[in-house]
Amino acid sequence: MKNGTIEMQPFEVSVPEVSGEGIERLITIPIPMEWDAEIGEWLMTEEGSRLVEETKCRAMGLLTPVEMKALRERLGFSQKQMGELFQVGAKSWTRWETGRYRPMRVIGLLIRALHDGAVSLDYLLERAGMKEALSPWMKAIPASTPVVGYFNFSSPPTRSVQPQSESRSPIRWGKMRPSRPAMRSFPRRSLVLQTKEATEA
Amino acid sequence: MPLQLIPVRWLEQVCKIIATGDRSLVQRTRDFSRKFNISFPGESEGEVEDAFLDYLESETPVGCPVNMGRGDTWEFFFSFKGCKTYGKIMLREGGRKVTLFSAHKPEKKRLWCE
Repeated sequence: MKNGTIEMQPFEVSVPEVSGEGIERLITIPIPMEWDAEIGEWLMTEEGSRLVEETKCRAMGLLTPVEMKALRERLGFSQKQMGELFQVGAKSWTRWETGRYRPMRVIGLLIRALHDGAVSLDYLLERAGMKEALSPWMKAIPASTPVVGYFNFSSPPTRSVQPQSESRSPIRWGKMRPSRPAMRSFPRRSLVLQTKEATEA
Repeated sequence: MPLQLIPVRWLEQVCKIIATGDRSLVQRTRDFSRKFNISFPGESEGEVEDAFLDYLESETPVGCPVNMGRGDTWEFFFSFKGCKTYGKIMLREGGRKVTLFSAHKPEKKRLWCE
């Protein structure tokens, strides 16, 4: 076979048990592999590895790296701010978003909950001590407001919560990120959720 | 033959390439991914590259040379998530790419040269 030949081949994706150790089930998917004639081996392509990771994430009920990036961009946050929001090390979110690492299942569940609107952004901001630093108008959002219901980034801005006055709610849609000095100065809270990533960091 | 110290030149080249995280330079074989997935279903392959680096950058990494016909290949045991793990890496001819052959729970108790 010619060197560099790409061929779709079946690959068994192991979905872990909740403990993370055993295998709950196997899902066979076709993925592109590349033939390396020099060493006589099939190599995983980048696309193949991505498909395996996405299949595993979906089977585990986690967001895929692409979905995590989309969530962050929808919120208008930086990777560092997302790390702050979930109270993990600064590099953790970046590693998750690039697919190099996968978040612990419990953190993944929390991220999914934010994505699905089952937990409000306001709640997470408050728990992370970011609410004050981000913007005074955040105070106007009820704690129960889900992120999906409140932020509608795919269409012109609509709000379920009307500001009391223009001065109290200086929302500039698409420019939610606070100034850098404000972010640097917001208080770091002790980690409520101890994660392995946070420990490593 | 006892375990051997892995040559410094090989270590330096391999670690430098793995540290780039560049998938065009750090190749994974089908068997690498298949066996890794079975051994560590809850972990991601990116993490094991960091574990490789931790071991290969330690003071005295030891292993056995493996004749694969091409390239320069070493096998060794290292620790991943607290588990003894078998690893096999080839530094390709030209020294610009590495191929990861193995990172899974050991199928044999000892390396061939132990």
